[in-house]
Amino acid sequence: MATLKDIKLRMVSIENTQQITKAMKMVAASKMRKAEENASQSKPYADKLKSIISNLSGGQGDASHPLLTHRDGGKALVLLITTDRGLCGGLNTNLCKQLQNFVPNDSNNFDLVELITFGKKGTEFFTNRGGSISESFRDRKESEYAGILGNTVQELIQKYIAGEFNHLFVAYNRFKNVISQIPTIQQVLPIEPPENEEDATSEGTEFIFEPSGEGILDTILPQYVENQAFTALLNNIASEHAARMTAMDAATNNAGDMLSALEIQYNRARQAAITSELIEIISGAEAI
Amino acid sequence: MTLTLEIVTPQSILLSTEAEYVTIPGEIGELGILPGHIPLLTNLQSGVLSYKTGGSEEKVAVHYGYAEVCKDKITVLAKTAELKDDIDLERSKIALETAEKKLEKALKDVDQVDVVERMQMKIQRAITRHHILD
Repeated sequence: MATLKDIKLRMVSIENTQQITKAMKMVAASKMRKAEENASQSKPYADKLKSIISNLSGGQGDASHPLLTHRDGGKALVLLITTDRGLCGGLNTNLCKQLQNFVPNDSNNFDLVELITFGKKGTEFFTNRGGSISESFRDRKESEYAGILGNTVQELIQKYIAGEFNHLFVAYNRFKNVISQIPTIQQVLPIEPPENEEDATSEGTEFIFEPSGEGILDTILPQYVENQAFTALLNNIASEHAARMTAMDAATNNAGDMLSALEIQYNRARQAAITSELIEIISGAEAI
Repeated sequence: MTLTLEIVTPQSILLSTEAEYVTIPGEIGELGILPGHIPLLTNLQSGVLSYKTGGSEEKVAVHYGYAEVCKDKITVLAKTAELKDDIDLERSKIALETAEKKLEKALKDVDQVDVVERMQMKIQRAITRHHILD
Protein backbone atom coordinates (compact mmCIF):
# COMPACT_ATOMS: atom_id res chain seq x y z
CA MET A 1 0.00 0.00 0.00
CA ALA A 2 1.44 3.32 -1.07
CA THR A 3 1.80 5.76 1.77
CA LEU A 4 0.40 9.27 1.68
CA LYS A 5 3.82 10.73 1.07
CA ASP A 6 4.52 8.42 -1.89
CA ILE A 7 1.29 9.43 -3.57
CA LYS A 8 1.92 13.11 -2.95
CA LEU A 9 5.42 12.86 -4.45
CA ARG A 10 4.10 11.17 -7.53
CA MET A 11 1.40 13.78 -7.97
CA VAL A 12 3.97 16.59 -7.79
CA SER A 13 6.11 14.86 -10.40
CA ILE A 14 3.19 14.39 -12.76
CA GLU A 15 2.20 18.01 -12.30
CA ASN A 16 5.68 19.09 -13.33
CA THR A 17 5.56 16.92 -16.43
CA GLN A 18 2.17 18.32 -17.28
CA GLN A 19 3.50 21.84 -17.09
CA ILE A 20 6.31 20.98 -19.47
CA THR A 21 4.06 19.27 -22.01
CA LYS A 22 1.61 22.13 -21.83
CA ALA A 23 4.37 24.65 -22.53
CA MET A 24 5.72 22.54 -25.40
CA LYS A 25 2.28 22.34 -26.89
CA MET A 26 1.86 26.08 -26.87
CA VAL A 27 5.30 26.68 -28.34
CA ALA A 28 4.62 24.11 -31.07
CA ALA A 29 1.27 25.71 -31.82
CA SER A 30 2.76 29.12 -32.43
CA LYS A 31 5.65 27.71 -34.45
CA MET A 32 3.23 25.67 -36.49
CA ARG A 33 1.20 28.70 -37.42
CA LYS A 34 4.28 30.30 -38.88
CA ALA A 35 5.51 27.15 -40.59
CA GLU A 36 2.11 26.50 -42.08
CA GLU A 37 2.00 30.03 -43.43
CA ASN A 38 5.43 29.58 -45.01
CA ALA A 39 4.37 26.31 -46.58
CA SER A 40 1.17 27.71 -48.01
CA GLN A 41 2.82 30.90 -49.28
CA SER A 42 5.35 28.92 -51.28
CA LYS A 43 2.57 27.09 -53.06
CA PRO A 44 1.66 29.66 -55.75
CA TYR A 45 5.26 29.73 -56.92
CA ALA A 46 5.47 25.96 -57.12
CA ASP A 47 2.16 25.74 -58.98
CA LYS A 48 3.14 28.39 -61.47
CA LEU A 49 6.51 26.76 -62.08
CA LYS A 50 4.71 23.50 -62.72
CA SER A 51 2.34 25.00 -65.26
CA ILE A 52 5.20 26.72 -67.11
CA ILE A 53 7.06 23.44 -67.35
CA SER A 54 4.04 21.59 -68.61
CA ASN A 55 3.61 24.30 -71.25
CA LEU A 56 7.26 24.08 -72.14
CA SER A 57 7.70 20.35 -72.31
CA GLY A 58 4.38 20.05 -74.12
CA GLY A 59 5.52 22.54 -76.72
CA GLN A 60 8.87 20.88 -77.14
CA GLY A 61 7.27 17.59 -78.02
CA ASP A 62 10.30 15.38 -77.47
CA ALA A 63 11.71 15.00 -73.99
CA SER A 64 15.33 15.31 -74.97
CA HIS A 65 16.62 17.18 -71.96
CA PRO A 66 18.83 15.03 -69.69
CA LEU A 67 16.69 15.84 -66.65
CA LEU A 68 13.61 14.54 -68.45
CA THR A 69 14.98 11.29 -69.84
CA HIS A 70 14.43 8.03 -68.00
CA ARG A 71 17.32 5.69 -67.32
CA ASP A 72 16.73 2.17 -66.08
CA GLY A 73 18.48 0.35 -63.26
CA GLY A 74 21.36 1.81 -61.31
CA LYS A 75 21.32 3.71 -58.07
CA ALA A 76 18.39 5.54 -56.55
CA LEU A 77 19.10 8.35 -54.13
CA VAL A 78 16.59 9.32 -51.48
CA LEU A 79 16.66 12.66 -49.70
CA LEU A 80 15.15 11.80 -46.35
CA ILE A 81 13.84 14.78 -44.44
CA THR A 82 13.10 14.17 -40.77
CA THR A 83 13.18 16.24 -37.60
CA ASP A 84 16.08 16.80 -35.22
CA ARG A 85 14.02 16.49 -32.11
CA GLY A 86 11.59 13.89 -30.93
CA LEU A 87 8.42 14.16 -28.86
CA CYS A 88 6.35 14.49 -31.98
CA GLY A 89 4.43 11.23 -31.97
CA GLY A 90 5.01 8.70 -34.71
CA LEU A 91 5.97 11.28 -37.30
CA ASN A 92 9.53 10.16 -38.00
CA THR A 93 8.96 6.48 -37.36
CA ASN A 94 6.08 6.28 -39.80
CA LEU A 95 8.14 7.90 -42.53
CA CYS A 96 11.24 5.78 -41.87
CA LYS A 97 9.22 2.56 -41.78
CA GLN A 98 7.64 3.41 -45.09
CA LEU A 99 11.05 4.14 -46.51
CA GLN A 100 12.33 0.81 -45.21
CA ASN A 101 9.87 -0.91 -47.50
CA PHE A 102 11.11 1.18 -50.36
CA VAL A 103 13.53 -1.36 -51.79
CA PRO A 104 14.38 -2.50 -55.29
CA ASN A 105 11.73 -4.84 -56.67
CA ASP A 106 10.30 -5.84 -60.00
CA SER A 107 8.00 -2.89 -60.52
CA ASN A 108 10.41 -0.03 -59.85
CA ASN A 109 13.52 -0.06 -61.93
CA PHE A 110 16.51 0.63 -59.73
CA ASP A 111 19.03 -1.76 -58.19
CA LEU A 112 20.05 -0.12 -54.94
CA VAL A 113 19.00 2.67 -52.65
CA GLU A 114 21.25 5.19 -50.99
CA LEU A 115 20.18 7.83 -48.51
CA ILE A 116 21.02 11.44 -47.86
CA THR A 117 19.51 12.35 -44.54
CA PHE A 118 18.43 15.69 -43.19
CA GLY A 119 17.62 15.64 -39.48
CA LYS A 120 18.84 13.57 -36.57
CA LYS A 121 15.92 11.17 -36.23
CA GLY A 122 16.11 9.72 -39.72
CA THR A 123 19.91 9.49 -39.52
CA GLU A 124 19.73 7.53 -36.28
CA PHE A 125 16.99 5.23 -37.50
CA PHE A 126 18.93 4.11 -40.54
CA THR A 127 22.37 4.06 -38.89
CA ASN A 128 21.01 1.62 -36.33
CA ARG A 129 19.50 -0.56 -39.03
CA GLY A 130 22.45 -0.53 -41.38
CA GLY A 131 21.00 1.59 -44.15
CA SER A 132 23.55 3.03 -46.55
CA ILE A 133 23.80 6.74 -45.90
CA SER A 134 26.06 8.73 -48.15
CA GLU A 135 25.66 12.09 -46.47
CA SER A 136 23.84 13.37 -43.45
CA PHE A 137 23.05 16.75 -41.95
CA ARG A 138 21.73 17.19 -38.45
CA ASP A 139 21.24 19.62 -35.58
CA ARG A 140 20.99 22.74 -37.68
CA LYS A 141 18.61 25.65 -37.61
CA GLU A 142 15.59 25.49 -39.88
CA SER A 143 16.91 28.35 -41.98
CA GLU A 144 20.29 26.65 -42.40
CA TYR A 145 18.67 23.48 -43.64
CA ALA A 146 17.09 25.39 -46.52
CA GLY A 147 20.51 26.63 -47.63
CA ILE A 148 22.16 23.24 -47.30
CA LEU A 149 19.31 21.57 -49.12
CA GLY A 150 19.60 24.04 -51.99
CA ASN A 151 23.32 23.41 -52.38
CA THR A 152 22.92 19.65 -52.10
CA VAL A 153 20.25 19.56 -54.74
CA GLN A 154 22.38 21.65 -57.10
CA GLU A 155 25.28 19.23 -56.65
CA LEU A 156 22.94 16.29 -57.15
CA ILE A 157 21.65 17.69 -60.41
CA GLN A 158 25.22 17.90 -61.70
CA LYS A 159 25.88 14.33 -60.57
CA TYR A 160 22.64 13.17 -62.13
CA ILE A 161 23.58 14.68 -65.48
CA ALA A 162 26.99 13.04 -65.16
CA GLY A 163 25.18 9.73 -64.71
CA GLU A 164 26.25 8.88 -61.15
CA PHE A 165 22.74 7.82 -60.24
CA ASN A 166 19.51 7.33 -62.13
CA HIS A 167 16.70 8.29 -59.78
CA LEU A 168 16.16 10.86 -57.07
CA PHE A 169 13.38 10.79 -54.52
CA VAL A 170 12.47 12.95 -51.55
CA ALA A 171 10.90 11.38 -48.50
CA TYR A 172 9.08 13.75 -46.17
CA ASN A 173 5.87 14.27 -44.25
CA ARG A 174 3.37 16.18 -46.30
CA PHE A 175 1.38 18.64 -44.24
CA LYS A 176 -2.28 18.05 -44.94
CA ASN A 177 -3.76 19.62 -41.87
CA VAL A 178 -3.09 19.88 -38.15
CA ILE A 179 -4.10 16.34 -37.35
CA SER A 180 -2.95 14.61 -40.48
CA GLN A 181 0.56 14.46 -41.90
CA ILE A 182 1.15 12.04 -44.72
CA PRO A 183 4.47 10.22 -45.15
CA THR A 184 5.35 10.78 -48.79
CA ILE A 185 8.04 9.44 -51.09
CA GLN A 186 8.09 11.52 -54.21
CA GLN A 187 10.11 11.13 -57.37
CA VAL A 188 12.05 14.24 -58.30
CA LEU A 189 14.45 13.02 -60.99
CA PRO A 190 13.93 12.22 -63.77
CA ILE A 191 11.29 14.92 -63.94
CA GLU A 192 7.89 13.68 -64.90
CA PRO A 193 6.44 16.48 -66.99
CA PRO A 194 3.48 17.56 -64.86
CA GLU A 195 0.03 17.23 -66.32
CA ASN A 196 -1.48 20.52 -67.23
CA GLU A 197 -4.21 20.86 -64.63
CA GLU A 198 -4.94 24.45 -65.46
CA ASP A 199 -7.98 24.25 -67.74
CA ALA A 200 -7.62 25.79 -71.17
CA THR A 201 -5.84 29.04 -70.39
CA SER A 202 -2.68 28.00 -72.15
CA GLU A 203 -4.02 25.06 -74.10
CA GLY A 204 -2.90 25.01 -77.69
CA THR A 205 -1.26 28.41 -77.57
CA GLU A 206 2.11 28.72 -79.24
CA PHE A 207 4.59 30.46 -77.01
CA ILE A 208 7.49 32.61 -78.10
CA PHE A 209 10.54 31.64 -76.12
CA GLU A 210 13.24 34.09 -75.30
CA PRO A 211 16.12 33.37 -75.71
CA SER A 212 15.01 29.84 -76.74
CA GLY A 213 12.98 26.93 -75.51
CA GLU A 214 16.07 24.95 -74.62
CA GLY A 215 17.66 27.93 -72.95
CA ILE A 216 14.72 28.36 -70.64
CA LEU A 217 14.40 24.62 -70.05
CA ASP A 218 18.06 24.52 -69.00
CA THR A 219 17.50 26.95 -66.17
CA ILE A 220 13.92 26.22 -65.23
CA LEU A 221 14.21 22.46 -64.76
CA PRO A 222 16.90 22.62 -62.07
CA GLN A 223 14.87 25.39 -60.48
CA TYR A 224 11.86 23.09 -60.45
CA VAL A 225 13.80 20.26 -58.82
CA GLU A 226 15.14 22.61 -56.19
CA ASN A 227 11.70 24.00 -55.56
CA GLN A 228 10.26 20.53 -55.02
CA ALA A 229 12.90 19.76 -52.42
CA PHE A 230 12.32 23.13 -50.78
CA THR A 231 8.57 22.55 -50.64
CA ALA A 232 9.20 19.15 -49.06
CA LEU A 233 11.33 20.78 -46.38
CA LEU A 234 8.73 23.43 -45.58
CA ASN A 235 6.03 20.78 -45.43
CA ASN A 236 8.09 18.66 -43.10
CA ILE A 237 8.74 21.58 -40.75
CA ALA A 238 5.03 22.38 -40.60
CA SER A 239 4.28 18.67 -40.03
CA GLU A 240 6.82 18.49 -37.21
CA HIS A 241 5.20 21.27 -35.24
CA ALA A 242 1.69 20.02 -35.93
CA ALA A 243 2.59 16.50 -34.81
CA ARG A 244 4.34 17.82 -31.71
CA MET A 245 1.35 19.92 -30.85
CA THR A 246 -1.02 16.95 -31.13
CA ALA A 247 1.33 14.67 -29.18
CA MET A 248 1.83 17.18 -26.40
CA ASP A 249 -1.87 17.91 -26.20
CA ALA A 250 -2.52 14.20 -25.68
CA ALA A 251 0.27 14.03 -23.10
CA THR A 252 -1.19 16.95 -21.18
CA ASN A 253 -4.62 15.34 -21.14
CA ASN A 254 -3.21 12.01 -20.02
CA ALA A 255 -1.32 13.68 -17.20
CA GLY A 256 -4.58 15.31 -16.14
CA ASP A 257 -6.33 11.92 -16.07
CA MET A 258 -3.57 10.40 -14.00
CA LEU A 259 -3.67 13.29 -11.58
CA SER A 260 -7.38 12.92 -10.93
CA ALA A 261 -7.00 9.16 -10.41
CA LEU A 262 -4.15 9.75 -7.97
CA GLU A 263 -6.13 12.43 -6.15
CA ILE A 264 -8.92 9.96 -5.41
CA GLN A 265 -6.36 7.45 -4.19
CA TYR A 266 -4.74 10.13 -2.04
CA ASN A 267 -8.02 11.18 -0.43
CA ARG A 268 -8.95 7.57 0.28
CA ALA A 269 -5.62 6.90 1.91
CA ARG A 270 -5.93 10.08 4.01
CA GLN A 271 -9.45 9.10 5.09
CA ALA A 272 -8.26 5.58 5.96
CA ALA A 273 -5.46 7.02 8.09
CA ILE A 274 -7.91 9.27 9.98
CA THR A 275 -10.32 6.38 10.54
CA SER A 276 -7.66 4.10 11.91
CA GLU A 277 -6.37 6.86 14.22
CA LEU A 278 -9.91 7.43 15.52
CA ILE A 279 -10.37 3.70 16.18
CA GLU A 280 -7.13 3.67 18.13
CA ILE A 281 -8.19 6.64 20.28
CA ILE A 282 -11.67 5.28 20.92
CA SER A 283 -10.51 1.78 21.80
CA GLY A 284 -7.83 3.32 24.05
CA ALA A 285 -10.51 5.40 25.86
CA GLU A 286 -12.76 2.37 26.27
CA ALA A 287 -9.97 0.37 27.87
CA ILE A 288 -9.67 2.95 30.72
CA MET B 1 -8.26 46.79 -71.70
CA THR B 2 -5.76 46.11 -68.96
CA LEU B 3 -3.15 43.56 -68.06
CA THR B 4 -3.09 41.52 -64.91
CA LEU B 5 0.35 41.53 -63.36
CA GLU B 6 1.37 39.04 -60.74
CA ILE B 7 4.80 38.81 -59.15
CA VAL B 8 5.43 35.56 -57.31
CA THR B 9 8.52 34.63 -55.31
CA PRO B 10 9.23 31.34 -53.54
CA GLN B 11 8.25 33.04 -50.28
CA SER B 12 5.01 34.73 -51.24
CA ILE B 13 2.88 36.49 -53.81
CA LEU B 14 4.57 39.86 -53.75
CA LEU B 15 2.23 41.80 -55.96
CA SER B 16 -1.01 41.30 -57.82
CA THR B 17 -2.38 44.25 -59.71
CA GLU B 18 -3.97 45.63 -62.85
CA ALA B 19 -1.75 47.59 -65.21
CA GLU B 20 -1.96 49.27 -68.58
CA TYR B 21 1.63 48.82 -69.59
CA VAL B 22 4.44 46.71 -68.16
CA THR B 23 8.14 46.57 -68.94
CA ILE B 24 10.08 43.53 -67.82
CA PRO B 25 13.85 43.01 -67.74
CA GLY B 26 14.21 40.04 -70.09
CA GLU B 27 17.49 38.22 -70.43
CA ILE B 28 18.22 39.61 -73.87
CA GLY B 29 16.74 43.01 -73.34
CA GLU B 30 13.88 44.98 -71.92
CA LEU B 31 10.42 43.97 -73.06
CA GLY B 32 7.43 46.27 -73.15
CA ILE B 33 4.13 44.47 -72.85
CA LEU B 34 0.79 45.96 -73.81
CA PRO B 35 -2.60 44.24 -73.69
CA GLY B 36 -3.07 41.77 -76.53
CA HIS B 37 0.53 40.57 -76.55
CA ILE B 38 1.04 37.08 -77.94
CA PRO B 39 2.04 34.31 -75.48
CA LEU B 40 5.65 34.66 -74.44
CA LEU B 41 8.00 33.00 -72.03
CA THR B 42 11.33 34.53 -71.12
CA ASN B 43 14.19 34.34 -68.68
CA LEU B 44 14.73 37.38 -66.53
CA GLN B 45 17.86 39.10 -65.43
CA SER B 46 18.20 41.37 -62.46
CA GLY B 47 16.53 44.62 -63.35
CA VAL B 48 13.71 47.06 -62.92
CA LEU B 49 10.18 46.00 -63.69
CA SER B 50 7.91 48.99 -64.12
CA TYR B 51 4.21 49.18 -64.71
CA LYS B 52 1.76 51.97 -65.41
CA THR B 53 -1.51 51.98 -63.63
CA GLY B 54 -3.99 54.86 -63.52
CA GLY B 55 -1.46 57.34 -64.86
CA SER B 56 1.24 56.66 -62.28
CA GLU B 57 4.31 54.50 -62.82
CA GLU B 58 5.49 52.04 -60.21
CA LYS B 59 8.80 50.20 -60.05
CA VAL B 60 9.74 46.84 -58.61
CA ALA B 61 13.18 45.23 -58.45
CA VAL B 62 13.13 41.67 -59.73
CA HIS B 63 16.22 39.48 -59.65
CA TYR B 64 16.36 36.50 -62.00
CA GLY B 65 13.58 34.09 -62.76
CA TYR B 66 10.97 33.82 -65.49
CA ALA B 67 8.08 35.76 -66.91
CA GLU B 68 5.12 34.31 -68.68
CA VAL B 69 2.73 36.37 -70.77
CA CYS B 70 -0.49 34.62 -71.62
CA LYS B 71 -3.86 36.13 -72.46
CA ASP B 72 -3.25 39.54 -70.92
CA LYS B 73 -1.91 37.99 -67.78
CA ILE B 74 1.72 38.47 -66.87
CA THR B 75 3.13 36.12 -64.30
CA VAL B 76 6.60 36.93 -63.05
CA LEU B 77 8.33 34.12 -61.18
CA ALA B 78 11.26 35.89 -59.57
CA LYS B 79 13.95 34.28 -57.47
CA THR B 80 13.80 37.40 -55.34
CA ALA B 81 11.90 40.63 -55.77
CA GLU B 82 11.62 43.82 -53.79
CA LEU B 83 9.05 46.59 -53.77
CA LYS B 84 10.38 50.11 -53.76
CA ASP B 85 9.45 50.67 -50.13
CA ASP B 86 11.21 47.51 -48.99
CA ILE B 87 14.61 48.51 -50.30
CA ASP B 88 17.09 49.61 -47.70
CA LEU B 89 19.58 51.89 -49.43
CA GLU B 90 22.17 51.85 -46.66
CA ARG B 91 22.23 48.07 -46.48
CA SER B 92 22.40 47.79 -50.21
CA LYS B 93 25.37 50.18 -50.39
CA ILE B 94 27.25 48.13 -47.81
CA ALA B 95 26.45 44.93 -49.66
CA LEU B 96 27.69 46.47 -52.90
CA GLU B 97 30.97 47.52 -51.32
CA THR B 98 31.71 44.14 -49.77
CA ALA B 99 30.75 42.35 -52.96
CA GLU B 100 33.09 44.55 -54.99
CA LYS B 101 35.95 43.87 -52.60
CA LYS B 102 35.34 40.13 -52.70
CA LEU B 103 35.10 40.20 -56.46
CA GLU B 104 38.43 41.97 -56.75
CA LYS B 105 40.05 39.34 -54.58
CA ALA B 106 38.40 36.45 -56.38
CA LEU B 107 39.42 37.75 -59.79
CA LYS B 108 43.07 37.15 -58.94
CA ASP B 109 42.39 33.50 -58.19
CA VAL B 110 41.66 31.07 -60.99
CA ASP B 111 39.89 28.60 -58.71
CA GLN B 112 37.18 31.00 -57.68
CA VAL B 113 35.11 31.23 -60.81
CA ASP B 114 31.90 30.52 -58.93
CA VAL B 115 32.66 33.24 -56.38
CA VAL B 116 33.19 35.70 -59.21
CA GLU B 117 29.87 34.74 -60.69
CA ARG B 118 28.07 35.05 -57.38
CA MET B 119 29.59 38.43 -56.65
CA GLN B 120 28.73 39.71 -60.09
CA MET B 121 25.14 38.72 -59.48
CA LYS B 122 25.22 40.46 -56.11
CA ILE B 123 26.58 43.64 -57.63
CA GLN B 124 23.96 43.51 -60.37
CA ARG B 125 21.25 43.23 -57.75
CA ALA B 126 22.62 46.22 -55.84
CA ILE B 127 22.77 48.28 -59.01
CA THR B 128 19.14 47.42 -59.77
CA ARG B 129 18.12 48.59 -56.32
CA HIS B 130 19.91 51.88 -56.77
CA HIS B 131 18.26 52.37 -60.15
CA ILE B 132 14.87 52.08 -58.54
CA LEU B 133 15.56 54.63 -55.85
CA ASP B 134 17.00 57.20 -58.27
